[in-house]
Amino acid sequence: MPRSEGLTVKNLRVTTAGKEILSGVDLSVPAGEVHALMGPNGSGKSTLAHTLMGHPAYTITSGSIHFAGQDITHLRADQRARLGIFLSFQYPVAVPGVTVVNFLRAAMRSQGKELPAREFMKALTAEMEKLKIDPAFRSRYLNDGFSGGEKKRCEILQMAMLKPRLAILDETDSGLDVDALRIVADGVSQLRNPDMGVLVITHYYRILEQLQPDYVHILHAGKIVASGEAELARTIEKSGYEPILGPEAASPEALPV
Amino acid sequence: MAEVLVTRVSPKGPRQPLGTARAAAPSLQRLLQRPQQVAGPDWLRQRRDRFWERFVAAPAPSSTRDEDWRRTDASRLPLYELLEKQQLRLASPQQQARSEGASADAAQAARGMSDLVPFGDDSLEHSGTIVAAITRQGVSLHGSQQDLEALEQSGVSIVALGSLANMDDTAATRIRQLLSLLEGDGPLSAAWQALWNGGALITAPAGTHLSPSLWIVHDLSGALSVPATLLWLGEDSSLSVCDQYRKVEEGAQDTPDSSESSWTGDGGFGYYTPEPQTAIPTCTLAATLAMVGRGAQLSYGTLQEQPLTTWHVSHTLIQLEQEARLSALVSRLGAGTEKSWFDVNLVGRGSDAEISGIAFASSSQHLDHQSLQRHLGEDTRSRFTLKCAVSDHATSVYSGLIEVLPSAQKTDGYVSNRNLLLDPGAKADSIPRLEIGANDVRCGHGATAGHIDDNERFYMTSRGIPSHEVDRLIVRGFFEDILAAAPFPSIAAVSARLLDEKIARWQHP
Ligand SMILES: Nc1ncnc2c1ncn2[C@@H]1O[C@H](COP(=O)(O)OP(=O)(O)OP(=O)(O)O)[C@@H](O)[C@H]1O
Ligand SMILES: [Mg+2]
Repeated sequence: MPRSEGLTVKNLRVTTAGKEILSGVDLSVPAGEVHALMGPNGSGKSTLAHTLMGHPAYTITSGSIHFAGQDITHLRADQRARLGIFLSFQYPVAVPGVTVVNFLRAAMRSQGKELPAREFMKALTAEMEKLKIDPAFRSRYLNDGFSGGEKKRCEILQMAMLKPRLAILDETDSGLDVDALRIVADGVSQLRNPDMGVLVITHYYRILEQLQPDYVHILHAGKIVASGEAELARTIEKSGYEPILGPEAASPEALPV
Repeated sequence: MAEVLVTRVSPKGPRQPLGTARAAAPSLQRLLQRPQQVAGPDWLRQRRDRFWERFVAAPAPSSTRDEDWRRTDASRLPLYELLEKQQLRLASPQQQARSEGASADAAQAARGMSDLVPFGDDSLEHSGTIVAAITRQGVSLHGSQQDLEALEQSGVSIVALGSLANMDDTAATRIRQLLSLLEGDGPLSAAWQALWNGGALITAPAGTHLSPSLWIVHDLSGALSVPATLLWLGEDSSLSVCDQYRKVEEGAQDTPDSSESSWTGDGGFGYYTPEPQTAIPTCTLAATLAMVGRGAQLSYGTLQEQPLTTWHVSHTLIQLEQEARLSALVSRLGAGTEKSWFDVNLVGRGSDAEISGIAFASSSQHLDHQSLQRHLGEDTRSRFTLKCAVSDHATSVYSGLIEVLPSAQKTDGYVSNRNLLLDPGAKADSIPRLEIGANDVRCGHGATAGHIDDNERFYMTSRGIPSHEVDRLIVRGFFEDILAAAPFPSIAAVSARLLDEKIARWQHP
């Protein structure tokens, strides 16, 4: 039974381009908790993230997604966003011609979170300062020509401004230098509150050390094959996926470096 | 009023060599009536006569024979039909009735005119713009006190091309020089030379600078409108000018502060049919001719927002002398069919032309743009970028040529066309070309056509933005770099506003 708060995914099967990628995923991220999702490359983590966000290229063939007491299985992406779901993209998309400021204003307006111009600029400036983003980025075109790390920071900036109730961070920690990683982790920690759930998709233990997840789930071949406490992530950091998945499952590139 | 009946031949059917076209079968002859003529000095009358002869003798544009017309159906150009049957005259019946009563006051006209330019929140007062309303009585100017004083002190002059009778010799010489820029052998440039009627000559004497921009609103209310903009920039002068082409319905634009005084018709110099008729689309044949002297700088904008019932044909030809600079924004949003030529002659060593364009073709519009960057001088640089959004069943056609003459060593030229196709039925044709006659040059071209990227759309919707707003942002964003680099602020502001209106009409037809 779906909980009235947070995210509940039941027996989710998803295909794209005629291929089944998720083969029955069950997952709950209650409000106030931080869950980590790990798994080898190609196991379906981003597919799950996109499906939770409502990407039209991923077809749900069975199962359901509930959020905040609502069945959202068939909602469009913009409707889900307005319910408070936020995805920090593994590969943020460049939007030439649309400035960071204009984009954020449009997003906040459509989520009913519009601020008067001055207040908005004040809030934006403060968040950019925290994330150590150069103020010049306000009038740059969104993600256009941003470095990998700049894109990730800009995702967190959007999250900080939009204040979601469920944040899905798809490898936001990848490609960040040590300082940036701490800044991003601090950004997420500061936003945490009892009404907000966080699903962190990552290959690395380092960010989990800072975010202290309540649970860690392992996705493999489209299924959650193991769930446990933070300890599980440390095991993977030390020994790879082999002890959990068996020898044939752990391909060398899947191992955290 | 002398109406001259002239026989002309309109060859149709199979492709014929140009030379034999005139000898086509007599059954293909068409009768063209010369419209009521504009008064003017002798030299100009003779000139018009010459070009009229040339026009009627030349074969009509043909989509099978003329490369320029290959992708636009020339047989539907309403010009010939209007000239064949319609006994065009210089004023509409309404205008005639009005002029028998009290004639509209030019200042009122200007006020009405300035209301037409959507400066938006920046009222005209703060737009850094002077609107020049060209009336039969002369030019009336509208702008802030400060800007009008700047104009007076600058030495820049604006002469309405309706009052040609009292023209002084200097103006006559300049007009003649400028007209000579467009003497190519095409029938439509000949037609323009014979028929142009209304517009302005703007002269910036050597060393003059004018900071407010001059905004010329062409009221194209006639069945056939043939406006002229002639720009003459002396050495080391600088000037910003914008041509705005729009049609105002008869009597539709009464000024708010005076309900009986409408400027309509007094601002426009078109040719009118004896009775209003809707069977033939209206037609505009416009030209802007500019000479930019040594070291001078022209910032230029041109905005076409005509109704879908109009054919808009335009020639722009700008000649740059040594170290002269052109920075231009072309905005093409209206007209059922547009066929336009934008040519820049980089004659003087070190001259530089930076031309950007935005176009949006929706419903069944057909917009055909042609550009020529003609490098004659050494060390010259040119850029032409046209961005087109195309929706519904509309078509955009673009052909751009960089021509480098043997004299133009060290040319640096680029021509590019980017198309954003918004619907499966939308089409974009793009033919950028180079013709290089010198060996030490750097020239290139690029053309792309694409759709709105699904990932881009998903990224934006995932932040809660509904899909119609996403489309709006993406289309607007597509043009943003061009608007951001506009040659002067008011043209960017007005173009953006017109573009937003156009996007809204596309989204909510
Ligand atoms: N749109 C798509 N079209 C075709 N195949 C896809 C598509 N999206 C995902 N896949 C395939 O689904 C599988 C899972 O991809 P996904 O991106 O979800 O993996 P991941 O767990 O996020 O991997 P990584 O750790 O490398 O980010 C891969 O084999 C991938 O090629
Ligand atoms: Mg992934």
